Amino acid sequence: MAEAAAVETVGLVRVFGELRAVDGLDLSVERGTFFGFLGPNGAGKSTTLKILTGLLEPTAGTARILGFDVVTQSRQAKERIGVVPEELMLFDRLSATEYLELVGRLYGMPRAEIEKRSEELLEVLGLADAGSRLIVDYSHGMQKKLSLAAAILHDPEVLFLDEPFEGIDAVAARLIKNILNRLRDRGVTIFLTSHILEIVERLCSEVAIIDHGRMVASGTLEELRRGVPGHGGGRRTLEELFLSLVGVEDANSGELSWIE
Amino acid sequence: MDRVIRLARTMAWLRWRLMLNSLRTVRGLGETVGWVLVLLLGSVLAAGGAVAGGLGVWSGLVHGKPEEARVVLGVAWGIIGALALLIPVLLGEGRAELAPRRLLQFPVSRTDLFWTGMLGGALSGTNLLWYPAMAATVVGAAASGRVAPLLILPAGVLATASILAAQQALLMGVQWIATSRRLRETATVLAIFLFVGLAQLPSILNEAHARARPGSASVPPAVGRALLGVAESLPPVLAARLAMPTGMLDGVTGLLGLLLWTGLGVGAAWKLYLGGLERRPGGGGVARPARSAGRHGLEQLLGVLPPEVAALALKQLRYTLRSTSGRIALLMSPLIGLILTFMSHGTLRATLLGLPSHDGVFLFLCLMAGINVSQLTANLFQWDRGGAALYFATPVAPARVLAGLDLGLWLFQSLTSLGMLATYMLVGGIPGRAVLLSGLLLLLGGQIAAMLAGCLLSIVAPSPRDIGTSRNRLPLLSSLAMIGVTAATMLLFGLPAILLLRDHPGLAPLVLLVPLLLVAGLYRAALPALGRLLAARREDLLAALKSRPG
Repeated sequence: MAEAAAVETVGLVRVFGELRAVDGLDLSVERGTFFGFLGPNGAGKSTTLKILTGLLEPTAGTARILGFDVVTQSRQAKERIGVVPEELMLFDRLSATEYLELVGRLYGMPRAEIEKRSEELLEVLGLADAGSRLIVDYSHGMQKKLSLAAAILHDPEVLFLDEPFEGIDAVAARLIKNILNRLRDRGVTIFLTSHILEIVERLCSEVAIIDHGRMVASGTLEELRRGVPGHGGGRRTLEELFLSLVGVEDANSGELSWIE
Repeated sequence: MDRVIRLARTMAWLRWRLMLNSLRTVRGLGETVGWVLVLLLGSVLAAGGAVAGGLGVWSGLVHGKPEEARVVLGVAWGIIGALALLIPVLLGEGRAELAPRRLLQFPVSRTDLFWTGMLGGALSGTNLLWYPAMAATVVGAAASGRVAPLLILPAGVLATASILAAQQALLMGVQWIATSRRLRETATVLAIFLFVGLAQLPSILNEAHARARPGSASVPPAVGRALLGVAESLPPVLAARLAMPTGMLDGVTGLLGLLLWTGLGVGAAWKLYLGGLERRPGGGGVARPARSAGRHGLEQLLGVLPPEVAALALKQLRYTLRSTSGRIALLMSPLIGLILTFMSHGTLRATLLGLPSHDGVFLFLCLMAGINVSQLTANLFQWDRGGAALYFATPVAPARVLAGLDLGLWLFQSLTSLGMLATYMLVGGIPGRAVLLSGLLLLLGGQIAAMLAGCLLSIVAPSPRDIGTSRNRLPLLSSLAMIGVTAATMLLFGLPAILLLRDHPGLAPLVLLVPLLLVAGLYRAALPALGRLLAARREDLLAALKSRPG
């Protein structure tokens, strides 16, 4: 029997009033893949991610993580995933150490293991000195790093990252990239959304692009570089492909009357 | 010069705009209505203040005794000064939007910004309300014929200058406090505690004094003399001294005192202004480590529970202890116990509902302790913001989320109850065993009933609140429901307790066990259903918590 995909959606739909944020999305991500999930603002990326991580209910269709349905087998699915959401889900009146302790215990980890891994994570992420400070006093970059620490504390099989590089400096970005590469090397599936296409191009082995809640392109980077039918041929960068698929007209406008 | 005038005008405009916008956002009024309302209300207040000030001073000086003339003028300027200091703070003129740091990104120097800020502050809307009253008091005093016109004018001008300097220093102080989360929160807790404590202090002192020495004066003479000395060195009194001197030396003392106060005000404003610029925004220096709430002992105690329930309980307890309302509740609890002790021994009659008043008040205190944090119990997720997503992204049963959060609040509530009851018993004496047990059962029953209703209300009517402020009133629906819970607790526990303790005290605790077991069983049975409701409403809950705190 074939091993279930790390992430799989079939005809996934999510409606908010009149808006179909996700509109019949079919997606399959194999285990161990570093997967880039791209799209312009409002394309439905975060909604899809929230459905996959149990924060939103799908209106129609199914979503599975490692074969577990996110609606009917949510507990089993959640036990195997880690999440760094765009709006960080931190309790800002806890210290970093207290927060990691809370997260570890919510995943049912033994206390000694939580303490050991927390110390190590805070050390590696450069937060050891700030471990006892309240999160509210952290900079945005520190909060992002802490959020990543919380997401990988329980050693998840699938890691969801929503804009993990937004608002952080180059040093923190490099650190996070290194950690993600190491996780991929040991077989963790990484599902990443990002607006920074250079990072996606450098890190991801497979990419999907959605617009208006629908898939417009998917495949390995090599396949996409070779061209998408109807969107020109030849070797192109991911940015060129992305712009041709979701909004080259908007990108070319932007002329201002007082700037010649 | 043009540059400074332009900057001063901009600062004055900014203050006006912020004041108008605060009316618009708070009351949901349109801009035109806001302007009309402000102008109308402002005109009425300014005219009313001028008439009252002018006529009051004129009448007081003409009809009063000559030796009281200075007091009349000093009191009039004292009232105007107090309003001039309080109103801008209450209307939020010291708000962060006005903080000079924000304006330094533009091409202005620190010194220019300070002086134009002072000038703009002098022309702010709230100050225009009291200038007519100040002018009218000067005119009223001059018209009375008791004051030399050559002295009243400089006295009035210097009184105004000293008030303005003190006001700007106060507003700069508010801005300085606003730059640090820790300072802001501590100041809020202290201000509320001092306000409530001071409001209750006279009755506590008088009660204690009357009990110690019946018939004696409530304020000792030494304290009175000290207070008078302080009052005489305040700017309004010094200005009255300058206006009506008993001799040359008296007048010079008044003048120098006023100049000193004005200089001190401007100097303090300058120091606070510079301090505000140099402070790191949001942090306020190096943040201190978070103090864990009795970590090890409590963790061992909670160790018998499922780990996720214990972890959530600890999180909720830490959060509550770090919240402004939690700190206030904790500080207030012994004060409430103290006030009720004096009530039970002083102002109340010997018996209450057929019980000795000390016992009756003890039962009332237990009822109060059971519901005194209902604004937290009925809004469990109020401070969680984005963190609440963790409840749904991790593999924890929603019923256990509720149980953990409830347990954390119950631990906190037990601390405040202990503060109230222990103070009451230490000062007033321990009630009889039957009353003590009945009271504790009443307390526990009230807590569980409040938790049961609180879970439901937290899910169906969540309302985000800022953890750093004391404003955590419940939505109307939740408030009404919690009043219902209090009434039900009184009916189920309070009434049987009172009836039985009068005639069969030994029976009361045993009988109260029945409703307690009933309420506890109901809570336990309802938790899974409440958990399912929580899961079903997670999207609404998370969306509500993301909105701006009310």
